Amino acid sequence: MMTIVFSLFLLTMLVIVAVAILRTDNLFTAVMLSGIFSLIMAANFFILDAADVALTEAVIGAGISTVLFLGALALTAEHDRSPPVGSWVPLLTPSALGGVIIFATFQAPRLGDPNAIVHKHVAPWYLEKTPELIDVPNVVTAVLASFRGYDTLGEVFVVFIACIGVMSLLGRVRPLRDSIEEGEFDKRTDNLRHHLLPRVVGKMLVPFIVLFGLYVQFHGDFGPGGGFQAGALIAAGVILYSLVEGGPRGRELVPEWFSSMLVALGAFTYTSVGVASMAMGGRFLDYSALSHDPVHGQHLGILIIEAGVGMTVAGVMITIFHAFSRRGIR
Amino acid sequence: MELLLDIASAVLLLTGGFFVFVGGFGVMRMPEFFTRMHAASLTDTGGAALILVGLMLQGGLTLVPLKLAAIFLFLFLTSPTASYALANAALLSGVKTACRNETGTQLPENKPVAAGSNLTTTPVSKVSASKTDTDKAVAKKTAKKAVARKPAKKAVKKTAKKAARKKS
Repeated sequence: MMTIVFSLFLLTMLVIVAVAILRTDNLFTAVMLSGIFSLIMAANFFILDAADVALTEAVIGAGISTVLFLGALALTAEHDRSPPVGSWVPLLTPSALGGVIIFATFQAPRLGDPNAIVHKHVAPWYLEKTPELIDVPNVVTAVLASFRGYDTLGEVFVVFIACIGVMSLLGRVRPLRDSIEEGEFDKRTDNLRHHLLPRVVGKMLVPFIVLFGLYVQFHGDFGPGGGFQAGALIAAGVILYSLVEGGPRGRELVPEWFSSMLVALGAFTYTSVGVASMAMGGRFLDYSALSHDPVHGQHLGILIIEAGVGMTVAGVMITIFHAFSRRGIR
Repeated sequence: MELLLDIASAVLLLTGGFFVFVGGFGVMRMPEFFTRMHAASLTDTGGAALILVGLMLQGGLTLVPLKLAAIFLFLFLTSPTASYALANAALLSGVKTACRNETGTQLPENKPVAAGSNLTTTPVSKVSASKTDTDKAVAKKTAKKAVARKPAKKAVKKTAKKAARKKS
């Protein structure tokens, strides 16, 4: 009962925020509202018992993508150009699509219905076999990293390729540091160094955020979390540092060659685990071959590929942020 | 003992909820940015702190109160910082406060204007002149309502103007 009330409240808020995003022509407001949208969405996921997804949504949706949007906004104008008015076609398309979706929901199973098709297919097998085959408490991690290891490998490469795409769009600009002196450097870069309070508190939080990221990384077998969330959290720590101290100092903390190397290294680690399991007599990404004891092999494999995922995600976030902040200076 | 803990945590939770409610009320009712932020930030930090302490009492001797304490610390640091950053950004980008009226009535009585000099541009002499003894009672009354009334007055004026136009 309480869950339904909460869900109703959150979904109503979601609709309100979505309409507000559409109606505002101030892009800054729209970015902030989209952050709020993600936060509400994260709460929604949490109510639906999808803690892993909620964590991802909160970190990436509400945190990092807001910052990246702001970075993009710094390069463009603050206000939306007024859209062309008078055509009914744009209204027609989404309403037709929305009607179809609403019609489809009448056929959908009720929330939490045990007889729903998704609960009858492979899910029972996963739930039943995870303790025996993989022996980690968090079934989500088992499914993501081991049963569906191929899919996750694909996701990592999607992120990898997306990073390459963004970098080829934003390009590389010569760093500012070489040409000017320290004092001028601080003046020219947009940082918060002259704001004592945000600077002190922000810098104080960075180690804790990174520590929490590492906890999420290595505790992913037991609780919600894993490489994706941890990578995003660690990147959030670095991004916070860069925001407080200014982009150039952030690029000194995590140099660009390092973050872009991290991207490739993570994908490489993941793939090499698959190759190693082939070399040791199993199939590609069959972690059971990695050790004498199949369950131990699974543990080892999951640990390493999660580390690879974390490296790639953190690297991508930091690289893209650096690219934006470097553009923002000029 | 259990009962005492329950009562204590209930009191804390209710007070915290009240704080947050008042904060929301203030955001709705206050006339302009800085006063709204004042309402939101103070009650938000205080209310969240009270609620978290109340929840900690419910947690018992487990890991839960420790985790809540971590959240408490985090919120206690970040929430005021965020408010500070927000106010600072507003100030730097030139958001003007509307807390300025000709009689200076929103300032506390018997205090020099200098105490609130960042709130008002009214010269001191003008303020003290308006505060004769006979005015004092009136001033006190308006002081309470001045903040809330201002937009309403404007609206009234606007509608009056509209009506006048229609008539003509």
